[in-house]
Amino acid sequence: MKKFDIFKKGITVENPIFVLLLGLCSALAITTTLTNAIGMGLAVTCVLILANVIISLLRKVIPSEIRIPVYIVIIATLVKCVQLLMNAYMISLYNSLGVFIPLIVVNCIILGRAESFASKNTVLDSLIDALGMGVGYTLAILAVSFFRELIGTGGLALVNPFDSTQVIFQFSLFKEYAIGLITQPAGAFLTLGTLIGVINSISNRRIKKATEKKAEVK
Amino acid sequence: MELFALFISLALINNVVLSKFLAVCPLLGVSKKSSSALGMGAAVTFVIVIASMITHVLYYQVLVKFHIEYMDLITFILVIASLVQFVEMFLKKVSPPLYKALGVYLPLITTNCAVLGTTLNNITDGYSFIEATVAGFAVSIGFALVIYIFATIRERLEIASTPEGFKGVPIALITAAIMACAFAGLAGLV
Amino acid sequence: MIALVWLMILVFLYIGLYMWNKKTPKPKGCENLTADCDGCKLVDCTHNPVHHEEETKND
Repeated sequence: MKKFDIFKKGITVENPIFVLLLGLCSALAITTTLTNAIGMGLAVTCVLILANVIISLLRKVIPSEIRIPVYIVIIATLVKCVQLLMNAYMISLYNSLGVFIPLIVVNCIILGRAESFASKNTVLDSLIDALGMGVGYTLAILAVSFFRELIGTGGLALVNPFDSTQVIFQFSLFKEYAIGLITQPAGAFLTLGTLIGVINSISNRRIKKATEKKAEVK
Repeated sequence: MELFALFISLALINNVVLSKFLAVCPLLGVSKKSSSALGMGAAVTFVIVIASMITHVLYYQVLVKFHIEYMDLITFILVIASLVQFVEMFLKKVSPPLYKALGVYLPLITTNCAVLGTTLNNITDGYSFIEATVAGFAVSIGFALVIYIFATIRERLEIASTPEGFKGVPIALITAAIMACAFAGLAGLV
Repeated sequence: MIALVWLMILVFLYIGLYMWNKKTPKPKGCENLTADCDGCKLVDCTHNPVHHEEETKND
């Protein structure tokens, strides 16, 4: 049960995008289509899992004084590996994500989890935490790109990330009424800001109700 | 003249924050006061310009020569991180007043994606040394300009009445959206 | 092979500068100077204002 809680908190109470507000740069930039979001989510989850496991394995070996430099070297190596793999097997996705794949190095989700979780916990727990965080990140950017693609182009499409010619689904609902601005940079800020605000409001109301209930019981 | 066009295009039209989405985190984090926004802008300018020059030289003189171009990412992040440490140490020793003004923002720059993003873009766009230096300067001036304007807006925003859930980052992002609209209007400049 | 040597040079350069910087004392009047960054809500980040409050609580 406790292991499942570690997994769950990455998606809900400690969601990297909506709650911790980490890695907003990539969440803003690549959420133009669902396909991009899935590719980026995959890449970040891979790096996150590998980095967490390696750092957790080495947590007793790394001297605490120079731990940040060591983390940066480990993460940079992993990101380069993922970048080369994507270049080999997902070329169209690699081209559309562009500079944001190498920029996973400076994405605070990975350094943040390494510092605050993997350096203090066992390998298995770190692996579960990385999985939860990765899934939470992927779901969050999928949600942002869902709204941006739907409102901005009037339809949705998903392409197999490993093979750009294979379309999984594609439909158009209200092409004439699409708001092109949402796919522009300004729309990215607007969509993410509104989503975070709405989620904040909902969770605030929940906390308020919970405290009122407690007061009634007393 | 071409360099001037490059400068205007990178500083205003393809602004690093509002159209390329780099360095959004420091934009949200260090923009509560306009004085700290200026300090951050100056520190970032300093680091990006020097990092652009060093990484450009290292890429063409070391990595290309020894055919180890795949080491670019690791080289760049380590050079930037070392540079930040060196500048901080240098300021501590040589100029305490400058350290007081800029030094505190330096540790925040290592994980600033604008620095790594600009140095990587300099290589992928095939800039010459002079172009890379100008590009680095233009990007950081664009960043400093946006973070300063943003901070002055946020100072006013603090006293405005915002819905509870939208206070802080959400309303800041929506403000950035309006600024992005304004900057998109500069598109025909060059 | 060259790549490994190059990586070693860079890593040692970075760790050397990192330690050197850590050992250089801060000039007078800047001992307690920290940049508060509240861009994200990661409490473990040393730049987060909440981090300092918790530290002083623990002391």
